[in-house]
Amino acid sequence: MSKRTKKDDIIQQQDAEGESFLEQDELITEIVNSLDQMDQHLSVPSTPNLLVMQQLVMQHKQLLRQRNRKDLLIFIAVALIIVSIYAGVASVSFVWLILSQLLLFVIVGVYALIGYTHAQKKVKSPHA
Amino acid sequence: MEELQRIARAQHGDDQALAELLQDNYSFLMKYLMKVTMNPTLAEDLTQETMMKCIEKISLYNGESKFSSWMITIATRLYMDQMRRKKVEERWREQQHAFKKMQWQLQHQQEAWTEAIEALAVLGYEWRLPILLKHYYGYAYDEIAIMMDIPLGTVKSRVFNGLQQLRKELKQDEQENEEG
Repeated sequence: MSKRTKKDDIIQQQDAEGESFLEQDELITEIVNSLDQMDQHLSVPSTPNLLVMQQLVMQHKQLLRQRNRKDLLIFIAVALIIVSIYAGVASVSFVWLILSQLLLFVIVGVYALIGYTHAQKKVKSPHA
Repeated sequence: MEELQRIARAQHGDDQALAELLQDNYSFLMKYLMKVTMNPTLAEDLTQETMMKCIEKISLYNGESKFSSWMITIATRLYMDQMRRKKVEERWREQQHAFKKMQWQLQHQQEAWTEAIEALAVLGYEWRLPILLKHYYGYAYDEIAIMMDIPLGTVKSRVFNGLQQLRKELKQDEQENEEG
């Protein structure tokens, strides 16, 4: 009796699973067909011609080159300012140079530590 | 083969080859974004943005996936970034507006606006995206995980839960229709 019940349970479970897979297949088919229909009927802007596309590529590349040049100039300017400040400090006193380096090291360390602690807190509380 | 040659030329700075590549994939990308966003205006903006990104990053394309897959990966991530930045309320309002616009566009083709589309449009983008990629575009779970930059388990659970939600929504619609 107990064996038969188990077998019945298994068959029932398999039937339910089969039904659920069938339902899922039907749902997916419905979604795919609906999306196909949407693709056919929804008005999509026409593809730009090759000349327009080429102009777009050239303009964007030029913009990128300008942006890169600007970034490089900013980088060089900032680097020059920092180096000249350090050169100035070193010419006055070498001890001041070491002290300013130590101060910078401490500030960066504290900043990194605060950032790290903040990030850890964010991860620990997903519902926040 | 022709596409591979074009990609190689584009990576060496050939503007025409890159323009041809973008032109060939424009319609595919636009239709993909239309289905993903369910918002024609946003889809158009994202198509432009994706093409700009492709121009910038073409040298990084390594040929591991098809060029169209690479493009929709970029588009998917841009869309996800945009959605994450927006507040839930703002997102909902925009989606409702776009939803009405699309409904209006499809109004004269009754058969095109189905309950399945409506249910899909109501579904959150986090679930809609993996369902589309898996069951409409036929990508594998691990490919979707890379495309969406989320763990494999999350992709599987989102596809499963998304389908459950869709089924529930469609059953509700059916019941309402029967009662009405």
